[in-house]
Amino acid sequence: MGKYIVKRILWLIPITLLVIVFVYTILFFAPVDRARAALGMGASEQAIAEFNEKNGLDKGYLGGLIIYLKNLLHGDFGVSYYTSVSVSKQILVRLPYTVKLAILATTFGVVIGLPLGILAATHQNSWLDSLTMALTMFFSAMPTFWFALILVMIFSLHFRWLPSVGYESWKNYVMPVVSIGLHVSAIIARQARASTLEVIRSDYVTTARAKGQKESKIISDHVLRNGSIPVITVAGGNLAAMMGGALLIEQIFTIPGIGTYLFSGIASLDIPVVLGCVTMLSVFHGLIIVLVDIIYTFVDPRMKVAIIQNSAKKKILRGGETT
Amino acid sequence: MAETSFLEVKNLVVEYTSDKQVIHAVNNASFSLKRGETLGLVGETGAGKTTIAKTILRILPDKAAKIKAGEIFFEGEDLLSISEEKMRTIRGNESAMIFQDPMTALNPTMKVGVQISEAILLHNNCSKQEGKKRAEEMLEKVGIPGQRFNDYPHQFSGGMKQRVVIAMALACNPVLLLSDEPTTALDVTIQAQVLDMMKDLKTEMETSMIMITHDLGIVAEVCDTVAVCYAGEIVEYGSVVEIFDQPMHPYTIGLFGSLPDMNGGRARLTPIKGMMPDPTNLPKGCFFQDRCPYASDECRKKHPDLNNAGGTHTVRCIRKGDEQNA
Ligand SMILES: Nc1ncnc2c1ncn2[C@@H]1O[C@H](COP(=O)(O)OP(=O)(O)OP(=O)(O)O)[C@@H](O)[C@H]1O
Ligand SMILES: [Mg+2]
Repeated sequence: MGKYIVKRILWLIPITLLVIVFVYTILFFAPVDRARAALGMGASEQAIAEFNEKNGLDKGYLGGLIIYLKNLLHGDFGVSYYTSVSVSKQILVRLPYTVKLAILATTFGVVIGLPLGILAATHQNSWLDSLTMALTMFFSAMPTFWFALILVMIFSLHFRWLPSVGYESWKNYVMPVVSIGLHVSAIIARQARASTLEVIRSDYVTTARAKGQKESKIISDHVLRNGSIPVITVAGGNLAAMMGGALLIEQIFTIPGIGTYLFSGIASLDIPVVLGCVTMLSVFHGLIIVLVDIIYTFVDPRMKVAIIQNSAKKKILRGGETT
Repeated sequence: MAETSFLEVKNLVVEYTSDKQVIHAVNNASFSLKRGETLGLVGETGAGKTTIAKTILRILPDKAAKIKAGEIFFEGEDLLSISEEKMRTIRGNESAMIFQDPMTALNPTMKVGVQISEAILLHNNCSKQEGKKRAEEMLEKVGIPGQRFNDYPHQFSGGMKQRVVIAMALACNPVLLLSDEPTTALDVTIQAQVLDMMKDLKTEMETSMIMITHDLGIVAEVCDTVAVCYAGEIVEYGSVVEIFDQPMHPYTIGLFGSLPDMNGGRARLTPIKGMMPDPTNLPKGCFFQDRCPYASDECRKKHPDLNNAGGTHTVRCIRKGDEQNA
């Protein structure tokens, strides 16, 4: 099991490298003169040459990539072309805001969505179910920035209860978390309802009923665990996706997270900024997926066996080759 | 009849609704069972056997299924009119069911032992440790080492899962056991083992049983009485001797077409030409008319009653009725 996890994590290295090469290539060949963009149209030839040299832009496509990767090996993400600020520093400062937002919004989504979905499933075709389905349909279809604007209108402009900009107090996080969380909870509720309905109809639930078990215990002991397996996938995928920052939400509430940083980097084709964010994003994405897989093995014992057997089988095959 | 009846099912009607269509799964089924006796419930797929068993435990899917009519007297009490709370004290305790498909009947994310002790803890005033001990004993009883308490269903073979399902049903020493094809999922050698085990357990615990099966060998071996089920109704009913010696309903005769190889080995019910009528659209008259070599005009007009054919033997066929009346 431990070996499996290490292997999965090591796999992230080539994947991240590939991502870096792809993104670098696109950015490098984008038709833009970075020196003139940074220094202004009237910049002297000498200043431009200096700029290009400083940023490794004079080394060509391959040279630039090799320098970037070399520096990365030492944990150096380079500096922004335009502000000369260290990318790694920026990421470290910004990461906590994004992580906080991602974890809070996903937790909100699970805490609201999972019970709601189960409740809707256990009361299938009742008014409660219809109401839940209508609401979740609405909330999963509407974009998060729309909720954000509505919330700002109500709670900042009308009641003046919550600040609409800033990031210092917990109050700043209420609206961003709720506006993303509502969307996430709607998606999770729909998934939870569908998987719960499937589990409720399964034979082993009938078996539990045949033992004389109470409905409430059937839900908590038999349905919840089996029904939540697909929910873990959805929640994990959401968390991973949010590591890139909730772009519009960070923008609306002026949260200085990865999203705003990445966005500014893309807008100005600032290679080190974009590559830094993307590298970080791909590593986190991979780690979260590994984490989700580990959670799976706790929830569903079949997964664990599948993993162990898989590595055992390979070991046998390898042993067979050498002897 | 009522004096010794331990289980009595009377005029049971059960319908399923799916896609707005009404499936007439059980139509006026009646039979009874004495204490310690085993009733064989036979009939082809879709005849309503599982539905009858689930109705007795009241574990039909509550949205899709509806019990339209009937009474089920179990130790003198009508199971269809008691409260859900009361019913829960009977389920898994006095009356238990062995499910048809062991592959899906066990919860994949719950330890096998915990699934067995679940019923024990529910119906006995005992500690968790005591429950675990008894579950381990049940495992041993069905031939699985007690240490496997902590294993999950996927770590078991099909045959072992079936034993677990049996151990689960027997955990609280039920007086009524509903066995839904307990051996079809097993290969022949294990079938014999499981059957022997069930027979032993049955005598040990004095359990009455409804044995649902396609296997005439099993019927001959373990059953005292037989009910032949067709399109949701009982078309022939009687003791094993009566039914095997003198099957009367054309459907039963057709099923027993393979009887000559009884000595050779396990005889299975032979398929009869044609298909069972569509349960959403049952014909007027006899349900077997389209497949019956003796069908007459009258069979198409009038639904036959259950006629007495001597002893405890009853048959739902007008030919028998005619003979009787003549
Ligand atoms: N949950 C359900 N929803 C709708 N129809 C059902 C449901 N369960 C069973 N039926 C229908 O009810 C009829 C009787 O089914 P049942 O499972 O009782 O048959 P069976 O005699 O046990 O068959 P088998 O030998 O294949 O197990 C069939 O027509 C079947 O399609
Ligand atoms: Mg069945």
